[in-house]
Amino acid sequence: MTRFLVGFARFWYDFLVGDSLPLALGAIAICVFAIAADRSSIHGAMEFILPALVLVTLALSLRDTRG
Amino acid sequence: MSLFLIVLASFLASAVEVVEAFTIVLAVGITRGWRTALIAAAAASLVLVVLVAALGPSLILSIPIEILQTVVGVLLLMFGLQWLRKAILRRSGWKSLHDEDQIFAKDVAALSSSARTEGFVDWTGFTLAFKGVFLEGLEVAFIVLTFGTKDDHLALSALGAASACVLVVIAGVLVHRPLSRVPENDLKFAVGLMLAAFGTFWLGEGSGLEWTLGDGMLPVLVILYAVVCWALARWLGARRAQAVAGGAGATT
Repeated sequence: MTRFLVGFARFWYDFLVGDSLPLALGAIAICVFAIAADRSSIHGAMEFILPALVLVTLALSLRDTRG
Repeated sequence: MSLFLIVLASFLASAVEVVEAFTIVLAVGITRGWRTALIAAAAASLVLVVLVAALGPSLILSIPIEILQTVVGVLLLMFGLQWLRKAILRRSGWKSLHDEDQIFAKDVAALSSSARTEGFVDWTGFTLAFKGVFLEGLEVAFIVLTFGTKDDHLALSALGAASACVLVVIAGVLVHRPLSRVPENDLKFAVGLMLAAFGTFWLGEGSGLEWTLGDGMLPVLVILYAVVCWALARWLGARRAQAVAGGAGATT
């Protein structure tokens, strides 16, 4: 049973997080930011900010790539 | 436009996963017998159908649309960015390309070296084929469900996935070998772009944002992400060339 639960948890971790935890955390941070911005003064600019945040998160996750 | 993109995204994502599942079933079929491989594939498919039928409609009907859009948006974003990151690393040479022939040869070697079990099915082969079809299928189910939640588009999303399954299986049966000629790495890049674009779009809608272009923002996001990812792959490719020239040439 324990083996099954560990395997199940590992599957979902690999499935959603994969090999880059910062990328997954970045996606969650973007979500939190988008919700927080709903009633703020930057709400109108979110359609530009949101895609920019996504691309910055992706670029940052690739920053440490080295041989 | 968004309806077409939903079918296309479901189709492409499912095609990639089914190609991977097909390779495993083929390896089991050749080494441990077709009865074992086909029973395992059928059993895994049945479990998946039951799961989707049980969870899909209840998810869509019982959760408020804004919450559903936000959750689906962030899940698609996590999933899509992960696919894009891998695709960029593969394209720039930092990660080895996904090779179905290589995976098939590895599976066949591993299965050939273990002893066969007596009985109606060979349990080693059954476990591997069931696990392969179930896990790859679960990814397909996840994609179908997430795309299907928006405006109750489950049928369209399922249509895209089902078409991909039928097409890949027919192609696989006809060629009777791993579908290594399917441009899997390019498909993964395209799917990653669409998942990330849909994720951004739905996350925005779920958090109260009204896109100026409406659904027309989806192709704009796909193109924007494609251009930036292409630039990132070029930049990393140049860094890779420098690293190889400098002697740090190991592929991650």
